[in-house]
Amino acid sequence: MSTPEDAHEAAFSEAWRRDGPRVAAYVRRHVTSDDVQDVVAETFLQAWRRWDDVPDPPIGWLIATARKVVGNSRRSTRRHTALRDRLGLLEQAARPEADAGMLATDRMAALQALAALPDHHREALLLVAWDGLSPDAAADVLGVRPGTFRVRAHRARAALADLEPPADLRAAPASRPLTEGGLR
Amino acid sequence: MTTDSLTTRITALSPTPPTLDPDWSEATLAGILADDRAAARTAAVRRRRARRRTAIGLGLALSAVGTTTAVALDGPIEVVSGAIMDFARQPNTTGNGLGELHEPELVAQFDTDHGVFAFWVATSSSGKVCYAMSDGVWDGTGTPTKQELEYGCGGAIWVSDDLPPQELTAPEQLGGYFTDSEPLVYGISPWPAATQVRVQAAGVDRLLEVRADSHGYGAALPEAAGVPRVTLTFLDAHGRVLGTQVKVAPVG
Repeated sequence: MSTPEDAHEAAFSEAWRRDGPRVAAYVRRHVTSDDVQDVVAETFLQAWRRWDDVPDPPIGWLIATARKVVGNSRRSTRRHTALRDRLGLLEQAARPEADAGMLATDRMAALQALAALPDHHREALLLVAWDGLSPDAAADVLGVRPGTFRVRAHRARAALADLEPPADLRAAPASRPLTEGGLR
Repeated sequence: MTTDSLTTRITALSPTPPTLDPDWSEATLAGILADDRAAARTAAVRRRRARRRTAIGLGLALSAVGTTTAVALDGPIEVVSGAIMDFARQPNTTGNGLGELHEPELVAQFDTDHGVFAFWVATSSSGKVCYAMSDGVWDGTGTPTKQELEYGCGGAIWVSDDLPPQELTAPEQLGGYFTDSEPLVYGISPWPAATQVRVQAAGVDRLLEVRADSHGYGAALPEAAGVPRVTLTFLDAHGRVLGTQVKVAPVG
């Protein structure tokens, strides 16, 4: 006969296998590849210890927790020897140009524009565009009201517009429709 | 073309979640499931209660830190020295060429919502700036082990989201204001005559002691939740303003 603890373990194990890769994808753009597993493991350890309080679905909570784990790590690394270069991390995390159906130069230009954004703008954009969270869930991750999040995302898009190079310097865009998880 | 070209490209770069290494995944999952949830929760509650007891009033908290440091002076300092010197002896690290390490000094030690934050700094005869810290790992009592510390020397530091990294060449570059969990501020006064630093922002008004030895200061600022930046005003023993700094919390 299964106990409540067995049910906990089953649900947690399912979340680990289902959401672990998504958490890893989030973490990969914030820390170097050497540290990704450690952050993912610490995130899920915290989830396990609070599993009764973790919402279902857990992905927003997990990403919010991963963000804190990364933050604690960066408290030290920001002023330590290991500087995490933003562009390098984005390059490591982003889809390769061939898979994304775009030229390497276009990919790099997009990543450079992302890297040039203030962190809170970039985070707002990518929680939706890359992590697939709804704007409300992304607002939860950042600990802000949904309205605040929408304003932040709007400003991020406006900042991107300011970074857009003149039309005659741009290559033809890759044709890929916006999806539910895309930038809006 | 509209600005959507950039945003479209960014969306197209949405990564496919990486496959977790199967061996690591199963071993890590088993390790997590073996964790004693109840014991961990009880210990966390006990730690929180203990911290509340020691954090009744800023004056008491600062006195406690000073007393602890004085009593344990030859404990943590020796461990920090040893950790840094071991680091410097490893090949191909930023600690190479350390020279003679000067005695580390405590910059700040205080409670946060996830444990004790402690930070030490040390310079060396060759001009290196080294540091050691524990952020919620060491429980703040007795002497930390080397495994409970993060440490290093020199290298690049990230001073701001909007500025390029800088080479760490002076202790005053260390520290900042951080909000990634419970807000905290710490650092080293650039004005050696400072004895106090006033920390101000909306809903925040604190007067922190500046240590006479390291010129360090620091505190958790739970009341600063949601506050993006704080202003630090450094005061001398007569209450005169020596200078101000604005510390902006890194985001993301």
